[in-house]
Amino acid sequence: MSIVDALVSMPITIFLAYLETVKDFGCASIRTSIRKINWKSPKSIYQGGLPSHVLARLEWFRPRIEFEIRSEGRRISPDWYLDELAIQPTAENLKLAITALVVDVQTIYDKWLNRAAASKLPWIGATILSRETEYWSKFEYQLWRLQERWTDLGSERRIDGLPWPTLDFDPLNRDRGQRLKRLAQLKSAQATVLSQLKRPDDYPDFAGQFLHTAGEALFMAMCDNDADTVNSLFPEFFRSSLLQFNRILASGAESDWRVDLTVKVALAPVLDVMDLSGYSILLSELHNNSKISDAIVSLWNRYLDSKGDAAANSKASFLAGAILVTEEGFGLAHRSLIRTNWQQEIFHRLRQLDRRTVTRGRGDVFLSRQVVVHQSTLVKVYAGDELGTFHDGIDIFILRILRAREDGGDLKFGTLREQLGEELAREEGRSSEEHEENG
Amino acid sequence: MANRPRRSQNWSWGPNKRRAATHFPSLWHDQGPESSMFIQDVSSSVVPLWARRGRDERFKANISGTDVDRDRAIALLWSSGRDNRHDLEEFVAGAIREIARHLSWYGRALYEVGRANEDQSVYLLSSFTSERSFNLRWCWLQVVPTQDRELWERSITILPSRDVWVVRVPKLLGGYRGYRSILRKLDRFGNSGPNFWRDDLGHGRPLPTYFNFMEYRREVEIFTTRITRKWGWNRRDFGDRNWTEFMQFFRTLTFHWAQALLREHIVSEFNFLLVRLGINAELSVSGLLSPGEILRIRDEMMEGKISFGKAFEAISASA
Repeated sequence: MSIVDALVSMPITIFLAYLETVKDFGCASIRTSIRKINWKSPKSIYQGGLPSHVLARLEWFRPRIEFEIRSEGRRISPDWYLDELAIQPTAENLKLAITALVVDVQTIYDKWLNRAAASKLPWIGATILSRETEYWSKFEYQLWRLQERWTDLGSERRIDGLPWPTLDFDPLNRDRGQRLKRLAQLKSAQATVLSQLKRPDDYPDFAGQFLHTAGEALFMAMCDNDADTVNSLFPEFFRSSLLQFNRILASGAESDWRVDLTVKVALAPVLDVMDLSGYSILLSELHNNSKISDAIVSLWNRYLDSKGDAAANSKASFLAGAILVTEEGFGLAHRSLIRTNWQQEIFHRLRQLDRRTVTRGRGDVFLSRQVVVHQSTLVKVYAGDELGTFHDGIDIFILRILRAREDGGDLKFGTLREQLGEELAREEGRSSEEHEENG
Repeated sequence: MANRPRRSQNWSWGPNKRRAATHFPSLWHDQGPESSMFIQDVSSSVVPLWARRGRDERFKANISGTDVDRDRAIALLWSSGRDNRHDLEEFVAGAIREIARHLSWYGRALYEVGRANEDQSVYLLSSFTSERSFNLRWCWLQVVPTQDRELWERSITILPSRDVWVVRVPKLLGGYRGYRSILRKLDRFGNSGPNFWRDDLGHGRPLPTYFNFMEYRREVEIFTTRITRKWGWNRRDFGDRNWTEFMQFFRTLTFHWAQALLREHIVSEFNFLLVRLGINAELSVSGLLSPGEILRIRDEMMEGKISFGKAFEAISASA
C-alpha cells in the first residue's frame, strides 16, 4: 500500500513543484533574466535558468538579434518586445498546465480507481481516493497563485495581433466542482464498503475520513440548494453512518454502552447523520425545495420501520438514547465541534435573509421586533434575531422525524431538546396575531 | 487657378543648344539583382503614386511668386520631369520622381541648364549622364568613351558650372560617394554562391562539404543589411528568417524616413536653383509626412507607445 500511496501522491508532488516554478518565473523574473542575456554569446540564453518553453523562444530570437547587432550595430528589438514574446509561451504553458492539473489529473485518478476496483482492492482504492482528496484540497488552497500568475502574465501586452492564450477559470472551477461531488459519492460508497471490513491496525481510518468528507459535501450541497448532489450522497452516507450504530445496537444488551467512551465515539457519525437530516428539512424550507429533504425523510422512515436484529427495542428509542447519552454526558461530545461549525454556517446564511420590523401592542404599550421575511415558521425560528438560536439540526430531526412517528411520542431527549416544538407554536401564534394587527 | 501651369505653354530646347551627352550606350551594363532592387525601391515612393489630383487631396504642391516667376519655375519642373501633365501636383510629383530616379541610379542627378527657344528668360533643364562626368570646380568635364565618340561626334564636353545643376544624395544618407559605394557593394556577392562554388557547380564537380551555403547566404544578407543601414532598406525580405517583426517595421519606417528626406532634399535643391537662376519663386509640398514626423512615429513604436499597426497605418497614409 505504501508503494501505491507514493504513486498516487505523484500528482500532488507535481502540482506543488509546478507551483514553485510558477512562483519563480513571473513576468518580473523573466524580464530580469532577459536583460542579463548577452545576445552575442550563443551560451548566454541558457545561463539564466529559464524554463524550456521560454528557451525555445529565446533560441528563435538569438540569430535574429545577432543579425540586428551585426547589421545595425546595436539591438533594435526593444526590451518590451522581447519580454512579451518570451512571456507568451509562458502563458501558453500555464494554460496547458492548469488544464492538465484540473482535467487530465481526473483521468489519471479515474484510471487508478478503476484498476483498484477491478482488482477488488478496497484499501488501495481508499488510498487513491484519500490522495485525490488531498490533491484537490491543495489545489483549491493554491488556486489563487495560479490565477494571480495568469493575470500577471497578461498584464502588459503591447503587440497587436500576437495570439495570446485565453483561459476561463469558471468552466475549470465548475469541472473541479463536479469532480469533488463525484469524489464525495465515491468516498461515501467506499466508506460503506470499508465499514464492513476489518481494518488492519496499521491502516489509516479511511472509512472515518471518507464519512467526514462526505458529510461536509452533503452539508454544502444542502446549503447550496443542490438537491441532486444531496440525493446522490445521502443514501451511502446514511448507510455508512448507521453501520456502526447497528453494530452497537446489536450488542447493546451485552454492555453498558451508556457509560462507555468508545461507544460515544462510535455514536458520532449517527449524531452527524441526524443533525444533517434535520438541517435538510430546514434548508428545504429555506430554499422552498422539498427535494432536498423528501428522500432523506423517506429513507429514515423506511429504516425506522424496518425490523432489525435488535427488535426488542425500537430503533427510534436507540436513536433517542444516543442523543440523550450525548446530552447528559460530561464534556464535549465527539465531533461536536464539527456540528457546531454546521450550525454556525446555517446561522450565517439565515442572517442574510431580509427582515422587517413588526409592531404589536395595546393601549400605551407597544413592542416591536425584527422578523425574517419568509413563509416558513421553522426558518423564522432558526433565523431568530442577530444572535441566532441554540437549536441545531438534531432538534428538527427529533421533532419532524422521531416525534412524528407512532412510537416517538414517549421518547425522552432532555429538556433543551423539547423546546423547539413549543417555540414553533409560539412563533405561529405571533405571526397570525401580527398578520391580523398589521393587516 | 494661380498654381496651375499654363496649358498652352510648351517650351523647347533647340537640339543644337544641348551640349552634354545624355547617355553613353557603350557603358550600359546590367545591374546586379540586389542593387537593381535597391535602385527601384529608393525611387519608387519618394512621392507616392496617389499624389495626383482627384485621387487624394492630401498632397498639395504650391509655387509662390509672381505669375512670370511661377511660369519660369513651372517650365523648369516641366523640363525635368517626363510627364506632360496639366495638374500642378502631378507636375511636381513627376519632376521629383524623375530627379529621384536619376539619383537612385547614380547617387547624383546632373542637369544642363539652358534657355528656351521661344523665350530667352525661360530656363529649361536637360538631364545628362553622370558617368564619365567630372566636376572641375569652374566647369564640368565629360569624357566620351571611344565607342560613343561617333555618336556624339566629340571626345569631350566642357560645361561651365553655371550651366549645370547637380542634386546629390544628402549627406545624412551617405552622400554621393556613400551611395555609389552602396551600389558597388550590393553587387559584390551573388545570390548563387561564391565564384568557386558556381564553377564547381557549372563543371559538375562535387561540391565541397566544408562550405556552408546557408551560412554564406546569412553573411551576405547581414552585409547587405549593414551597408544599407542608413537607408533602412529591407531587401524586400518580408519573412521572419532573419529578423523579428519589430526589426522589419523598424527598417520599413527608416526607409520611409530616407525617402521623405530625399524628397525634401530635392525640393530644397530645386528652390536653391530658382534662387541661383534669379527666379523669385518657391516650391513647397505638403500633405506628406516629414522626416521628423516619421522619426517620431518610429520612436513611439520603439517605446511601445503605439502598435505596429498604428505605425504602419500612419506611414501608409503617406506612402
